[in-house]
Amino acid sequence: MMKRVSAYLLCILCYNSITAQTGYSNFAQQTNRINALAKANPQWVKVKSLTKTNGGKDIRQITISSGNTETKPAIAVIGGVEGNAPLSTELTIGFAEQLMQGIATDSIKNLLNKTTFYIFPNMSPDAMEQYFASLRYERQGNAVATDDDRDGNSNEDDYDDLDGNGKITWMRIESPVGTHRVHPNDPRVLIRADISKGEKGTYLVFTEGTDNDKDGSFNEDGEGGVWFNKNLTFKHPSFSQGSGEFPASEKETRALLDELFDRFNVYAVISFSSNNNLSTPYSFNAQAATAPILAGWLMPDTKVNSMVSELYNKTIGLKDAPASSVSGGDFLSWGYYHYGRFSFSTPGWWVPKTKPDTAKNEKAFTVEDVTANYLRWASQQNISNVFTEWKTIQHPDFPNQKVEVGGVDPFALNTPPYSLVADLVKKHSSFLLKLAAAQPELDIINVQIEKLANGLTRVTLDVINKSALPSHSKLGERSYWVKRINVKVNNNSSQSIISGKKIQLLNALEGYSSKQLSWLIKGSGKLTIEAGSPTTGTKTIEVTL
Amino acid sequence: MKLQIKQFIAATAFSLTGLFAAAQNADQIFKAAGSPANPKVAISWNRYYDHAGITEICKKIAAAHPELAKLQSIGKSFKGRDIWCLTITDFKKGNADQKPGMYIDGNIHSNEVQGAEFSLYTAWYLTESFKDTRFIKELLADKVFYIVPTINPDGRDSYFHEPNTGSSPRSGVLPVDNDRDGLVDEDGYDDLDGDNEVLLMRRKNPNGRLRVDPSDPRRMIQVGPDEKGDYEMLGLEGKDNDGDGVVNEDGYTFQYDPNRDWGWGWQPNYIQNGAYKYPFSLAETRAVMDFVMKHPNIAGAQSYHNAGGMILRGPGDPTDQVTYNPQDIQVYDIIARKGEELIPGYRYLVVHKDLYPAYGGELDWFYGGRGIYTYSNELWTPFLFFNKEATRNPQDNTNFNFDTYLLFKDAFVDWHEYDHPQYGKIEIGGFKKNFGRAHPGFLLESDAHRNMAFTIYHAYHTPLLKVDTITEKDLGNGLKEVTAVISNSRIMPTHSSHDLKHKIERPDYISISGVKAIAGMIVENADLNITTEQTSNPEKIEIANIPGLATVTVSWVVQGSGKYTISVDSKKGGVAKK
Repeated sequence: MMKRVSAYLLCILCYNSITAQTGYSNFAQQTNRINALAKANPQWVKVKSLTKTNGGKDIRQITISSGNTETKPAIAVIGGVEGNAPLSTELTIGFAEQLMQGIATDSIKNLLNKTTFYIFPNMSPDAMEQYFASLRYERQGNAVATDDDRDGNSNEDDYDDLDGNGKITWMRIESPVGTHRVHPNDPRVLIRADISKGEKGTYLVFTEGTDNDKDGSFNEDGEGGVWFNKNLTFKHPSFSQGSGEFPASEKETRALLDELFDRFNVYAVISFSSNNNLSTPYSFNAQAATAPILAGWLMPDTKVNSMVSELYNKTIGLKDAPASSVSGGDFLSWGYYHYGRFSFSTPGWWVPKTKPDTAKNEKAFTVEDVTANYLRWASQQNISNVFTEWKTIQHPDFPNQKVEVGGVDPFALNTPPYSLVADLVKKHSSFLLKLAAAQPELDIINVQIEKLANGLTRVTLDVINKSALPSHSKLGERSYWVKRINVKVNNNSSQSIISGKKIQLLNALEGYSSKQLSWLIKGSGKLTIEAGSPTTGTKTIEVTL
Repeated sequence: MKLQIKQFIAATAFSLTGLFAAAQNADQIFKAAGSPANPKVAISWNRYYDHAGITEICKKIAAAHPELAKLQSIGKSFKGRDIWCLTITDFKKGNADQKPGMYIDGNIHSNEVQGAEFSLYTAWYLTESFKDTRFIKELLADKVFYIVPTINPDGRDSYFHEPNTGSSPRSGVLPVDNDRDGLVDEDGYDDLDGDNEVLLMRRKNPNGRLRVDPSDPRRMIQVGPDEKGDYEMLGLEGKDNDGDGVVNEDGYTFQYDPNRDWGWGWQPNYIQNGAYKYPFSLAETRAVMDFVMKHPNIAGAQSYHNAGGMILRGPGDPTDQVTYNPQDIQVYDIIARKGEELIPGYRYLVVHKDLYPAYGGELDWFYGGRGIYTYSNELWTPFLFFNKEATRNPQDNTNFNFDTYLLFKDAFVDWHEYDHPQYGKIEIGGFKKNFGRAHPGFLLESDAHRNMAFTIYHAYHTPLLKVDTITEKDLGNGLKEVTAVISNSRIMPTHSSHDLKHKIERPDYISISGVKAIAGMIVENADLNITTEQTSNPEKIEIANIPGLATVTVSWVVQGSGKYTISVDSKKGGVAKK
């Protein structure tokens, strides 16, 4: 009995403290952490479900703010953009937890009085559960049945765990017409043979499995589904695996888009995915940025990307990020091109470049390879059990041939050991806070009131953006999903505007910039002038004529 | 209980009289060629019907022809109106949803109304002609028509029942803050004179650049470069409702464009004006998409717009030439050239180059996203005024002449004075909203018939598959070779070339049953015995495509001597067996 009670207490503790977390959270654990956070901080944290996936899992939104959340400029933070990246969900839930751990401090309280965070921890809950499943493989597709090879049958040729170790790795077949050869510095690793350099392959390499439907391809149509990060509307890769039959075909995609399109106060979108414009910002490409179908960031927006990227690199301190490119249908591109907001993404972690350990007689690699680099790093970090040694099996599709199963573990290359996660959460939270500190903010200054004659007054003032980030992206000026800065003169019936506009809409104000406005007003007494937009907040001044 | 039954009988009797009251006594009628002489459902085709009217006609057709027509709602509009679909086929022959399908809709743009009547006319004509027209009987045995008269019922009713011009509203009625100032539809047109029309405003002005046409006082003409005019035009009927110094700048008439909401080549609103959130973000287009996804047998499609007398194909996106490949364009060309012949005054054109670039349009999704050969017809052309070239140019007075001599000035509201709050003394007048883009009554049925004939030609040339010949050759040891030739006797292949490239639809299956298939092969050349063997599941041979007006040949090595059946099963080509 005593034992049971203490187990119960322990359980409560682990809900309330991230330090008790010992590994990545599966969907049930994510749910518990989110609910615990909302329960403990009802004043600051609101949780709602946007929709349920076909796999029956809620797509959750955590709103962290205070008072009227929609009138504060906001940052949207998105995890689970790719279902094979549990780190992305840890970073988002971890950020929410960090905020609430600091809620007693004035700095966090002040921040949440002027900023709203919309956090979407996991856009791929169906796929992410595969990390925790008895058969582990890197999955991105949701639970919608898809015909990945478009042959009229769905899910007819999935992976097979041939060596029964609970993970899908690789299989290699000895062949005189092989495509791969053994890495010269690490015999466990296979690399592609380059015929143009006179290299000869000795192995054919496939993912682990059999040709279940006897169509000559391996594992080409397994379970699941549509990939969130291929289902968005910018350059949708229609008819490719995981894209969905058309852009935004999935309910989780539509649920997020519908929600964000209604949140006019969002000025920046931060997502955690393999796409990366935080380590290295986009550079300006004049041709792409002036094409009829816009395909490059506008010049002023690339400058903002550089600024935010510098902030990121300084805060996170990770170097040598692998090159990344977007391939269409991705969330990072959607955030900018189709949502019109500043959109940034980072994987959050990558395997550092290793140096040979001379004590162990290691030499510099003669061929750079991500798997070889990972295995060297893992060994230097004393991380074991991440490689399955090649082992010969009997394979029905290759009778009388030597087939071996083995290779590096799924997830290993993009998912850090859990011991590193707490530090990554801390650093990324710190980055998000610094970004929020730079959020656009309007002010009205240099108000001049000149009495001309006979009750006629000229009012002149500067509407300024007193922060580093622009009020809107330059592209946002063109999108009708972005509300412009509205300057209104609230005069009474005895006051009339002789010159100047009662209502006028302004374009984006860059960081630290101003716009001068003036009016000729007839009448006397007081009136107010207000300037504002959802991404900047509103400033009102009173003028006495 | 008894009472209930009585009531039921009474209700049925009533509805039957309602249905058939208009039918004539057969003795009194002499059939005009090509038209249903004594239809079960009598409909006047020289007027327009609002959504309630369409609903009633759909219900009457379905009730009068239960073996030929079934009515379903494929979804609800933003305001909750049903989007009706009539499925027309010979339900006694085969499975409707396995026959090659022809999808037809109209009225995607609210003011482009006659597409609904043209669609309904098609449903009516097919059901009423079935009995005594052999061609239609065979057509409905082989094919199925899915007819959705209006995919924008909110906009349709709004066009009829609210004050509008012939060109408004274009969009549906879901409100949108177009000018991004936080206010929605704060300054639209105003029906100043209360006649349910939005007309033109003119004002006397000694420095104007217009004058009244001396030969027709209704018409304003431009004065010469060295002449003085006496009128100015002040735009469409309206006033500055919100006091911001602009007239009619934010009404409900253009919230978004439903024909920019489709999932192929979709672009956001800063590239494509009228785009909404993402493809199928509007309830109406989503309903159509859901229906099409559930009916992979749809092989041809037609969408009715107005105006201009055009048979349009894609691409709408000038950068999307690659999608419309030469093999498919050949099919498009054959059918549309026939259309030009059938519908005088209509020209076969390509959206992006002959009209304007348009991203995310319906016809592009049907073809690009689903591989379905699809046209949009821009109904009505001024050619039909006097069956000769005419334009919609305001300087062309053909429309005035037509209104004078054929419509007896019913289409025009004469100029009349009005005291305008901002403009002072003005005059209001102009053509009514039912003239200029919508057909005049007496031309409606004739043009509906011609456009229907074009869609029937289109539907007729969806694939027609048949197991043609079966030959046997004894191979000894109890084995024999069975060779089957499958023909497609129509223009369309079972997979458009674009479909094949992306494997949009699954392959066609040619199967043998009743005997054990030891091996199966596709015969590339029967004379030279060139074959490709399919090593797995030999009894069900997968064929990527059965081309138009062509055959494919397959053969099996079979064991056993019993009777066997050879069948072909194609999503867009239908099923057949022998």
